[in-house]
Amino acid sequence: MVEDILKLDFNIIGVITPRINLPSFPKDLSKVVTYKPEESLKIVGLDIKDLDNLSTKEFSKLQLAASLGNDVIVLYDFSKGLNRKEINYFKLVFKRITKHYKKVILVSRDIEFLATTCDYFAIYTNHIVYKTDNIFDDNLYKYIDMPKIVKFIKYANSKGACLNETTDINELMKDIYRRVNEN
Amino acid sequence: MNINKSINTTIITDNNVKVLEYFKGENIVSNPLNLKLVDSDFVVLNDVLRYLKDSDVQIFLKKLESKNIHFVNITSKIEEVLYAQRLIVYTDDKVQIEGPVISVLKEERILKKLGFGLPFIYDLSLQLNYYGLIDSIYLDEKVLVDKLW
Repeated sequence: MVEDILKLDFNIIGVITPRINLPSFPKDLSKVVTYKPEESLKIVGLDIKDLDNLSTKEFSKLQLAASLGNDVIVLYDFSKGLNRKEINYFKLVFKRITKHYKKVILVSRDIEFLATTCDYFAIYTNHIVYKTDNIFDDNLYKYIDMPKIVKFIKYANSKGACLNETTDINELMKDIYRRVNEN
Repeated sequence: MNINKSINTTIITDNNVKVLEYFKGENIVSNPLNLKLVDSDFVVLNDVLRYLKDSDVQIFLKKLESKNIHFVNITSKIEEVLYAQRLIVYTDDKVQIEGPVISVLKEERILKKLGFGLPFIYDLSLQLNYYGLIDSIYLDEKVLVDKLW
């Protein structure tokens, strides 16, 4: 899968696929986080000594810590276990990472997370079934659910609201205020 | 943690491993493929609903309801709180707040401070209500749009 996705010329790519196989790690933390271990664990906010009984959040963070030395970072089901504040923090981390010519590939079924994080979206079964850089592309939704903000804007525009396409709730809020007051 | 097994409950948490300790011996479903095999009057869903399409979640929850099976849904996804009647927020090894879903969502400052935020439609409704564009909180996006336009 990764080879197909790497050909796409975008930095943060969301891959939506029916089956996600989580990576497995050796039991020894020092064999998992090998690139600048102290710094990597600090960046992801992981304070663990061993890999026994990890919560889903810790597992997600460990994936990233283990990958920070790579040019291509592939994360599976990354948003699982993370709260919104942590997800917003990691979005900034991804943006910073990709400024250093690295690529981030997020393999997930969490479309709410992917919609606000990625530059590009690919639906993948055994091959890329559909790909687009536009989360408002209707063809995407033959395969997956619509993010709630996209659903709201599309329905509102079908009623003549003329809202701008955005995945930022604050921008949406301002736009609604403007449009409603114009009427 | 006090769980009423006759009320559907969401536990929103950043540590599912800790929460699961309260449910030893219960029917715990962690694999979405095992959702169809649920055969109990009470089931613990361990962060599995995220793997389903919204329409499939609704079908699954309706099936549980028809069989009189109640559930606890353990998740970090704030959008899922709207699937149940009761909400428990569990972080730092303790219950931070609990109650009927809408009552807990009204404690938005606590939820934001804990890092969870609010479900999209509730958050949007709240802000629109604050700015006087709507008169109430709506949890259905179509109803909300119809109120605005």
